[in-house]
Amino acid sequence: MRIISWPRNAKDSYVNGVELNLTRAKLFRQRITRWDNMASIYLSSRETYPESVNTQRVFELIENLCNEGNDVALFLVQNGVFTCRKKSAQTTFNQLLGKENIKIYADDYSLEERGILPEMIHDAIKPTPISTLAALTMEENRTPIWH
Amino acid sequence: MSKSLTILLMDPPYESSNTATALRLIEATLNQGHHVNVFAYEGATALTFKHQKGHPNPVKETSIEEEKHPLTKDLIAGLFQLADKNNVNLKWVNCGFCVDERGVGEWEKGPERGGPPQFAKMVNQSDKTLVIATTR
Repeated sequence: MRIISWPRNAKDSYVNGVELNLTRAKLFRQRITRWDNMASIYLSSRETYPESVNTQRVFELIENLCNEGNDVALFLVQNGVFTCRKKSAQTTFNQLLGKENIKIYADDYSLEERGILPEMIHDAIKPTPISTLAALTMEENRTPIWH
Repeated sequence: MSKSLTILLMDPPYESSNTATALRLIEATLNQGHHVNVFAYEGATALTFKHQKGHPNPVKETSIEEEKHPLTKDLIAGLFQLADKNNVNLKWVNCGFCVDERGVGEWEKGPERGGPPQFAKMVNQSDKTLVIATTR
Protein backbone atom coordinates (compact mmCIF):
# COMPACT_ATOMS: atom_id res chain seq x y z
CA MET A 1 0.00 0.00 0.00
CA ARG A 2 1.15 3.52 -0.54
CA ILE A 3 1.82 5.37 2.68
CA ILE A 4 4.26 8.17 2.25
CA SER A 5 7.55 7.55 3.96
CA TRP A 6 6.12 4.75 6.02
CA PRO A 7 8.99 3.47 8.17
CA ARG A 8 10.04 -0.14 8.22
CA ASN A 9 9.91 0.22 11.97
CA ALA A 10 9.62 2.97 14.53
CA LYS A 11 13.36 3.09 15.09
CA ASP A 12 14.06 4.18 11.50
CA SER A 13 13.44 7.82 12.34
CA TYR A 14 15.91 7.83 15.22
CA VAL A 15 19.66 7.42 15.44
CA ASN A 16 21.02 7.23 18.95
CA GLY A 17 17.76 8.70 20.14
CA VAL A 18 18.00 11.75 17.85
CA GLU A 19 15.28 12.39 15.33
CA LEU A 20 16.69 12.38 11.82
CA ASN A 21 13.83 14.17 10.17
CA LEU A 22 11.22 16.08 12.13
CA THR A 23 8.56 15.88 9.49
CA ARG A 24 8.88 12.17 8.99
CA ALA A 25 9.17 11.58 12.68
CA LYS A 26 5.98 13.51 13.38
CA LEU A 27 4.13 11.66 10.66
CA PHE A 28 5.31 8.38 12.10
CA ARG A 29 4.42 9.37 15.64
CA GLN A 30 0.92 10.39 14.63
CA ARG A 31 0.42 6.83 13.49
CA ILE A 32 2.59 4.76 15.75
CA THR A 33 1.57 6.35 19.02
CA ARG A 34 -2.03 5.70 18.11
CA TRP A 35 -1.41 2.14 17.09
CA ASP A 36 -2.50 0.94 20.51
CA ASN A 37 -6.15 1.65 19.90
CA MET A 38 -5.74 1.99 16.14
CA ALA A 39 -8.76 3.94 15.10
CA SER A 40 -7.94 4.61 11.51
CA ILE A 41 -9.68 5.73 8.38
CA TYR A 42 -8.48 4.39 5.08
CA LEU A 43 -9.36 6.31 1.98
CA SER A 44 -9.41 3.92 -0.93
CA SER A 45 -9.30 5.86 -4.18
CA ARG A 46 -8.43 3.17 -6.69
CA GLU A 47 -10.18 0.28 -8.30
CA THR A 48 -8.80 -3.10 -7.35
CA TYR A 49 -8.10 -4.44 -10.82
CA PRO A 50 -6.33 -3.43 -12.92
CA GLU A 51 -5.73 0.00 -11.43
CA SER A 52 -4.03 -1.05 -8.27
CA VAL A 53 -3.42 -4.55 -7.01
CA ASN A 54 -2.06 -2.84 -3.91
CA THR A 55 -5.65 -2.08 -2.98
CA GLN A 56 -6.01 -5.82 -2.37
CA ARG A 57 -3.22 -5.51 0.19
CA VAL A 58 -4.99 -2.60 1.85
CA PHE A 59 -8.13 -4.69 2.25
CA GLU A 60 -6.06 -7.54 3.68
CA LEU A 61 -4.45 -5.13 6.14
CA ILE A 62 -7.83 -3.78 7.16
CA GLU A 63 -9.14 -7.31 7.63
CA ASN A 64 -6.20 -8.13 9.89
CA LEU A 65 -6.71 -4.94 11.88
CA CYS A 66 -10.37 -5.83 12.35
CA ASN A 67 -9.51 -9.36 13.39
CA GLU A 68 -7.25 -7.92 16.07
CA GLY A 69 -10.11 -5.84 17.45
CA ASN A 70 -9.21 -2.45 16.01
CA ASP A 71 -11.76 0.11 14.91
CA VAL A 72 -11.43 0.88 11.21
CA ALA A 73 -13.36 3.13 8.88
CA LEU A 74 -13.01 2.67 5.14
CA PHE A 75 -14.09 5.55 2.92
CA LEU A 76 -14.29 4.62 -0.74
CA VAL A 77 -13.73 7.55 -3.07
CA GLN A 78 -12.99 8.12 -6.77
CA ASN A 79 -12.48 4.79 -8.56
CA GLY A 80 -12.47 3.10 -5.16
CA VAL A 81 -16.28 3.11 -5.25
CA PHE A 82 -16.33 0.50 -8.02
CA THR A 83 -15.42 -2.01 -5.35
CA CYS A 84 -18.64 -1.63 -3.39
CA ARG A 85 -20.91 -2.75 -6.24
CA LYS A 86 -22.82 -5.93 -5.55
CA LYS A 87 -21.44 -7.31 -8.81
CA SER A 88 -17.85 -6.71 -7.80
CA ALA A 89 -15.98 -9.97 -7.31
CA GLN A 90 -13.56 -8.50 -4.79
CA THR A 91 -13.68 -11.32 -2.26
CA THR A 92 -11.46 -9.72 0.38
CA PHE A 93 -13.57 -6.59 0.34
CA ASN A 94 -16.74 -8.66 0.57
CA GLN A 95 -15.34 -10.35 3.66
CA LEU A 96 -14.95 -6.93 5.29
CA LEU A 97 -18.69 -6.39 5.01
CA GLY A 98 -19.32 -8.96 7.72
CA LYS A 99 -16.96 -7.43 10.27
CA GLU A 100 -18.42 -5.71 13.32
CA ASN A 101 -15.65 -3.20 13.92
CA ILE A 102 -15.48 -1.66 10.47
CA LYS A 103 -17.65 1.01 8.96
CA ILE A 104 -17.57 1.37 5.20
CA TYR A 105 -18.65 4.51 3.39
CA ALA A 106 -18.89 5.34 -0.31
CA ASP A 107 -18.51 8.90 -1.55
CA ASP A 108 -21.84 9.99 -3.06
CA TYR A 109 -20.17 12.33 -5.57
CA SER A 110 -17.86 9.58 -6.86
CA LEU A 111 -20.80 7.18 -7.17
CA GLU A 112 -22.84 9.67 -9.17
CA GLU A 113 -19.92 10.54 -11.44
CA ARG A 114 -19.59 6.88 -12.36
CA GLY A 115 -23.28 6.17 -12.74
CA ILE A 116 -23.38 3.80 -9.80
CA LEU A 117 -26.86 3.93 -8.33
CA PRO A 118 -27.55 3.28 -4.63
CA GLU A 119 -29.31 0.01 -5.45
CA MET A 120 -26.17 -1.24 -7.21
CA ILE A 121 -24.06 -1.18 -4.06
CA HIS A 122 -24.05 -3.49 -1.06
CA ASP A 123 -26.91 -2.90 1.37
CA ALA A 124 -24.50 -2.30 4.25
CA ILE A 125 -23.00 0.70 2.45
CA LYS A 126 -24.77 3.99 1.98
CA PRO A 127 -23.81 6.88 -0.31
CA THR A 128 -22.08 9.32 2.01
CA PRO A 129 -21.31 13.03 1.66
CA ILE A 130 -17.72 14.16 1.99
CA SER A 131 -18.66 16.11 5.11
CA THR A 132 -18.75 12.72 6.86
CA LEU A 133 -15.18 12.11 5.75
CA ALA A 134 -14.18 15.51 7.14
CA ALA A 135 -15.79 14.68 10.47
CA LEU A 136 -14.19 11.23 10.61
CA THR A 137 -10.79 12.66 9.75
CA MET A 138 -10.95 15.11 12.64
CA GLU A 139 -12.15 12.53 15.19
CA GLU A 140 -9.93 12.12 18.21
CA ASN A 141 -7.47 9.22 17.90
CA ARG A 142 -8.36 8.54 14.29
CA THR A 143 -5.53 8.51 11.76
CA PRO A 144 -6.31 9.22 8.10
CA ILE A 145 -4.40 7.20 5.54
CA TRP A 146 -4.79 7.72 1.81
CA HIS A 147 -4.38 5.03 -0.77
CA MET B 1 -13.57 23.41 19.21
CA SER B 2 -11.51 24.09 16.11
CA LYS B 3 -8.85 21.61 15.17
CA SER B 4 -6.39 21.75 12.31
CA LEU B 5 -5.78 19.50 9.35
CA THR B 6 -2.66 19.52 7.20
CA ILE B 7 -2.90 18.13 3.68
CA LEU B 8 -0.01 17.45 1.33
CA LEU B 9 -0.92 17.62 -2.36
CA MET B 10 1.30 16.52 -5.23
CA ASP B 11 -0.89 16.22 -8.32
CA PRO B 12 -0.85 18.98 -10.97
CA PRO B 13 -4.12 20.53 -12.16
CA TYR B 14 -6.33 18.58 -14.59
CA GLU B 15 -4.36 15.39 -13.98
CA SER B 16 -6.10 13.40 -11.29
CA SER B 17 -9.33 13.09 -9.36
CA ASN B 18 -7.20 13.45 -6.26
CA THR B 19 -7.30 17.22 -6.72
CA ALA B 20 -11.09 17.42 -6.80
CA THR B 21 -11.39 15.16 -3.77
CA ALA B 22 -8.82 17.17 -1.86
CA LEU B 23 -10.55 20.48 -2.62
CA ARG B 24 -13.92 19.01 -1.61
CA LEU B 25 -12.43 17.72 1.64
CA ILE B 26 -10.85 21.09 2.37
CA GLU B 27 -14.19 22.81 1.76
CA ALA B 28 -16.01 20.38 4.06
CA THR B 29 -13.38 20.74 6.77
CA LEU B 30 -13.52 24.54 6.63
CA ASN B 31 -17.31 24.35 6.81
CA GLN B 32 -17.01 22.32 10.02
CA GLY B 33 -15.02 25.12 11.63
CA HIS B 34 -11.56 23.63 11.41
CA HIS B 35 -8.33 25.23 10.20
CA VAL B 36 -6.65 23.76 7.14
CA ASN B 37 -3.02 23.86 6.02
CA VAL B 38 -2.08 22.82 2.51
CA PHE B 39 1.41 22.12 1.36
CA ALA B 40 1.50 21.99 -2.44
CA TYR B 41 4.41 19.96 -3.67
CA GLU B 42 5.69 19.12 -7.15
CA GLY B 43 2.94 19.57 -9.77
CA ALA B 44 0.41 20.75 -7.22
CA THR B 45 2.21 24.09 -7.10
CA ALA B 46 0.54 24.90 -10.44
CA LEU B 47 -2.92 24.70 -8.88
CA THR B 48 -2.78 28.37 -7.92
CA PHE B 49 -0.99 29.73 -11.01
CA LYS B 50 -2.76 32.97 -11.82
CA HIS B 51 -2.39 32.80 -15.61
CA GLN B 52 -4.67 29.78 -15.94
CA LYS B 53 -7.30 30.42 -18.59
CA GLY B 54 -10.48 28.73 -19.62
CA HIS B 55 -11.05 27.64 -23.17
CA PRO B 56 -13.90 27.13 -25.63
CA ASN B 57 -14.93 23.64 -26.65
CA PRO B 58 -14.92 23.27 -30.45
CA VAL B 59 -16.52 19.83 -30.24
CA LYS B 60 -19.54 21.17 -28.40
CA GLU B 61 -19.24 24.53 -30.16
CA THR B 62 -19.33 26.36 -26.86
CA SER B 63 -17.58 29.63 -26.13
CA ILE B 64 -15.32 30.30 -23.16
CA GLU B 65 -18.26 31.80 -21.30
CA GLU B 66 -20.58 28.90 -22.11
CA GLU B 67 -17.98 26.28 -21.25
CA LYS B 68 -17.34 27.74 -17.78
CA HIS B 69 -14.17 25.73 -17.56
CA PRO B 70 -13.36 25.25 -13.88
CA LEU B 71 -9.96 26.66 -13.02
CA THR B 72 -8.21 25.39 -9.92
CA LYS B 73 -6.90 28.88 -9.09
CA ASP B 74 -10.52 30.08 -8.87
CA LEU B 75 -11.65 27.08 -6.83
CA ILE B 76 -8.84 27.71 -4.37
CA ALA B 77 -9.61 31.44 -4.25
CA GLY B 78 -13.13 30.39 -3.29
CA LEU B 79 -11.74 28.29 -0.44
CA PHE B 80 -9.89 31.32 0.90
CA GLN B 81 -13.14 33.29 0.80
CA LEU B 82 -14.91 30.45 2.60
CA ALA B 83 -12.25 30.40 5.31
CA ASP B 84 -12.68 34.13 5.84
CA LYS B 85 -16.44 33.75 6.01
CA ASN B 86 -16.17 30.94 8.58
CA ASN B 87 -13.47 32.73 10.60
CA VAL B 88 -11.02 29.87 10.23
CA ASN B 89 -7.57 29.81 8.71
CA LEU B 90 -6.57 28.39 5.36
CA LYS B 91 -2.84 28.38 4.90
CA TRP B 92 -1.62 27.39 1.44
CA VAL B 93 2.12 26.99 0.92
CA ASN B 94 3.64 26.27 -2.49
CA CYS B 95 7.03 24.58 -2.48
CA GLY B 96 9.46 27.20 -3.79
CA PHE B 97 11.77 24.84 -5.66
CA CYS B 98 8.81 23.18 -7.35
CA VAL B 99 7.37 26.58 -8.27
CA ASP B 100 10.63 27.73 -9.84
CA GLU B 101 11.11 24.50 -11.77
CA ARG B 102 7.68 24.91 -13.32
CA GLY B 103 7.61 28.69 -13.67
CA VAL B 104 4.32 28.95 -11.81
CA GLY B 105 5.36 31.45 -9.16
CA GLU B 106 2.61 33.98 -9.80
CA TRP B 107 -0.63 33.70 -7.87
CA GLU B 108 -3.38 35.81 -6.46
CA LYS B 109 -3.67 36.79 -2.81
CA GLY B 110 -3.69 33.85 -0.43
CA PRO B 111 -1.00 31.27 -1.22
CA GLU B 112 2.56 31.80 -0.10
CA ARG B 113 5.96 30.45 -0.98
CA GLY B 114 7.71 28.02 1.32
CA GLY B 115 9.47 24.72 1.54
CA PRO B 116 9.69 21.46 3.43
CA PRO B 117 10.48 23.27 6.73
CA GLN B 118 7.04 24.92 6.52
CA PHE B 119 5.49 21.53 5.93
CA ALA B 120 7.31 20.17 8.97
CA LYS B 121 5.97 23.08 11.02
CA MET B 122 2.43 22.48 9.76
CA VAL B 123 2.60 18.80 10.64
CA ASN B 124 3.96 19.51 14.09
CA GLN B 125 1.30 22.11 14.83
CA SER B 126 -1.74 20.34 13.39
CA ASP B 127 -4.01 17.69 14.82
CA LYS B 128 -4.15 15.56 11.68
CA THR B 129 -2.09 15.08 8.56
CA LEU B 130 -3.27 13.57 5.30
CA VAL B 131 -0.79 12.88 2.54
CA ILE B 132 -2.35 12.52 -0.90
CA ALA B 133 0.53 11.24 -2.95
CA THR B 134 0.65 11.24 -6.73
CA THR B 135 -0.75 8.07 -8.23
CA ARG B 136 1.77 6.38 -10.49
